[in-house]
Amino acid sequence: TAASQCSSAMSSEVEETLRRIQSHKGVKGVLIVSAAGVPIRSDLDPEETNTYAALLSQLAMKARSVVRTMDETDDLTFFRLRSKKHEIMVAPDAEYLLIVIQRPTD
Amino acid sequence: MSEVEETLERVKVQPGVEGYVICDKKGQVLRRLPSMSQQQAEVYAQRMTSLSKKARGVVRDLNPKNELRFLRIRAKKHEVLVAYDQEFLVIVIQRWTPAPQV
Repeated sequence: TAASQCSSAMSSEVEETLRRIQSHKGVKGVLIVSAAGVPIRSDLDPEETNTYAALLSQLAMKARSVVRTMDETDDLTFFRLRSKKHEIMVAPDAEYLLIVIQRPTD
Repeated sequence: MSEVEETLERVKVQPGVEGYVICDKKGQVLRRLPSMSQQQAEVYAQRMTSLSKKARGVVRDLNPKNELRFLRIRAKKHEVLVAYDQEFLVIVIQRWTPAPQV
């Protein structure tokens, strides 16, 4: 069907993107999570996946709400948490969150 | 104090910088870019103090030995950078442009 053709074309694009990100030096983990916080893809173990998915999707919602409170026409496009041990990047979308964990850059 | 001044001067002249606020952990504004209004500075201070505390909580939930250093919130045209320290937050508001394609 058109829908399954479309979704298999999309999913190979997704695979490509994930492979590209995963092959970057320093990348420790990549997750795709639904807007509701349900993990869809991950290269972390199941427990870590659930923890990262839950915590970061909640934080993404809060960050988005801060952006929109300050300007209701604005929206969150990206956020980045840098800590001593790693850097977590979150790219939110209408339906998904892409989460990448990498070694700190400095 | 002059080290703070020097750093602020360097931040001020970065292209795209539209504001900065230094506040304490309670969200009290200590310094702001002079062209920002006190009210604007207070709004940023309150919102970023609250959000960065939550971000810090996430970092520590993931690993209790870890510490948040820096937070970057990007919206459509602006981004807010927050340097998170023991006692202070340094908040910078700047316009952003996409990185050049390689």
